[in-house]
Amino acid sequence: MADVPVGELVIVRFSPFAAARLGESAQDDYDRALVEGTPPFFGISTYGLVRSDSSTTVDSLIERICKEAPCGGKNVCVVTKTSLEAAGFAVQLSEPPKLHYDVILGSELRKQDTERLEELLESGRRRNPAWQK
Amino acid sequence: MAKVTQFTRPAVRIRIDLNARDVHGYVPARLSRANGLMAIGDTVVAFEPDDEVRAPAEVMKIVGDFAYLDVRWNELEDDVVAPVIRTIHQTDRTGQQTGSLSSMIRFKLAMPAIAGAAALAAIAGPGLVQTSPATPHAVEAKDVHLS
Repeated sequence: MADVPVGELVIVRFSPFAAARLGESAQDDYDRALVEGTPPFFGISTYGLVRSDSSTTVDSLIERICKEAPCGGKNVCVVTKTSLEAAGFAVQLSEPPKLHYDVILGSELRKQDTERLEELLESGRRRNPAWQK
Repeated sequence: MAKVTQFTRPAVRIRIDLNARDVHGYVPARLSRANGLMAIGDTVVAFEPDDEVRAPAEVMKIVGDFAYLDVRWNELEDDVVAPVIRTIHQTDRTGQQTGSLSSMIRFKLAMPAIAGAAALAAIAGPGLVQTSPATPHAVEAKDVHLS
């Protein structure tokens, strides 16, 4: 992915990244909200941190997210809030859990949205620097 | 003393999304994505097939079609099929097979001769003596006339 400017919100997502699985996860969250009695919407779970200064690298942000959330995986997709919004996806903080953000797909689950999101995520796919197994 | 028998069975596996969380930090997963039944308190294996990772997880609650898992993220590891380990018998420079298989073949070839001689000796009783065998595994028996 392109360099991340200081002050940008870095959004990371761990597997799965495939459009079909993104749609499945969004449907799961929607159905779970109905069961729990919270307002349902279609969204994708991600984690995020702001790059606070130029000495902070993207790798160090990912490592911090893995430690603090906690979460993990071998591979991770890194995008920015700006690039998600440019592609038409709103990003919303949804703590708890810590550092958790939802990428909003809206009130309707459409295949073209999940495919567009997969394409965007795959453009920032990389090996998780925190994976040490 | 009562006989104690222990059984082990593989833990139930359930497919998860590595990012999904509820407000408590538990990972929600549909029960239909498990390969078996589970109950609150069970330890299961949470896995993600695309990333080929797994971690042990405790079932904290079950609501509707969802199980909520407390995943041990610090134990996340590769979820790949273990290789099948096979013993390979090699041959040395003389063409002799090495390893335990050659010993087994020699034992199996000698076994009928040894067993046959033992059976014959058992039938004949003390009236049989054995002579020195011409070959390592050959056994002869001769009658001995007692006065």
